[in-house]
Amino acid sequence: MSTASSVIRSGSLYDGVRTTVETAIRDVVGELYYEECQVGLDSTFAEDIQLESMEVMEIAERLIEEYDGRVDFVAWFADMELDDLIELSVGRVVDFIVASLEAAG
Amino acid sequence: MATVHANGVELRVNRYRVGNDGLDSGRPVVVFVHGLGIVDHSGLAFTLGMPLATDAETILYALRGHGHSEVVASGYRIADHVADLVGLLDELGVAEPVHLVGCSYGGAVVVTAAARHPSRVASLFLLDPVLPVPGWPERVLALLEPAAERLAGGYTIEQVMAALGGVSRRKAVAAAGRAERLLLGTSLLDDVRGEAPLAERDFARIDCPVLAVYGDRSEMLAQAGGLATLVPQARVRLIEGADHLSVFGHTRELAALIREAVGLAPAASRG
Repeated sequence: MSTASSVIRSGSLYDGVRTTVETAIRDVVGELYYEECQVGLDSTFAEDIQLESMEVMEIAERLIEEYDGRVDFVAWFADMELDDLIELSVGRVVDFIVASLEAAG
Repeated sequence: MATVHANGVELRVNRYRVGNDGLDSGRPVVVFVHGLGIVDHSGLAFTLGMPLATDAETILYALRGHGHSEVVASGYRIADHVADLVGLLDELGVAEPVHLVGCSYGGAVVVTAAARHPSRVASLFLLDPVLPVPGWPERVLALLEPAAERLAGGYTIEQVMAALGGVSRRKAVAAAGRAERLLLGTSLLDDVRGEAPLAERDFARIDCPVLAVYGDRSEMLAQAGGLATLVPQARVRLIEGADHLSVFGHTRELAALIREAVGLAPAASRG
């Protein structure tokens, strides 16, 4: 995960990815609930946004479709332990996508 | 992710394969069948389906009535789920024998599938399973009927939140909605009431390796002794300190056991 941790959290690529991820979450949980949760980069899917696995799956599938083969989400999830899944945050997803896109060139 | 029309039902399916080896590389195909109620296959996908996809090809789907699969009004017998499973494999073009992982009620489905279609099944991995032995419908109804009565009799969301172990209002609303739809809006309860156990001679047709893993505090463990009689080749492993709910959280141990059962090397240690 060293590439993801070296992501610079600004710039048009980062902002664009952040918007895409937030939109995917918003589409799945609805605008009202999204605002209630005050979703930020530190928000965890499981605890803070209280998402069920089904909803995380829906968000993941939207992102898989959006990034169309450029981001290997399944390989990333495959490497996670249960704690990583439980603690997964919006920011971590954004970092991973940005790092993947940058690595793909 | 796909929706497949199999056995007359729309089933939501996820298929995972991580790695660059070709499609003919001989990976074991592992199909997961989840349990009854308010879950679908998503939890298993994240905890087991995707991690095992580094070496296997994993297939997970939501049973009819669950998740994004079609909520049919009737047809919730084990035989229906088995027909869905076989139909799904046919639609996906999976002709080789597959390793079936059955969780809870999914255990009853995969055991029956192996008995009815032994040539389609390479091995059985039963995860805290309900076995289709005498008395099994009563065991399942003991869990479902009280829930159905509470749902039909008027309830508050606070009661649902508490019943589910203190989940959020939002989760409770979603769970109650799904439970109402399934338990009150379909023939599921009646179908379970009308079920018979799998005959001993049908158990005897299971000719593949069988591994049953139970939480040592799970109420399902009571059936394990009968399994040894019905399926002589079955092995039983226990997960210490786990009950029927918590056993599914022992993901690292379960993944290792499934790897071993389907003939894969242990996972490379994560750096």
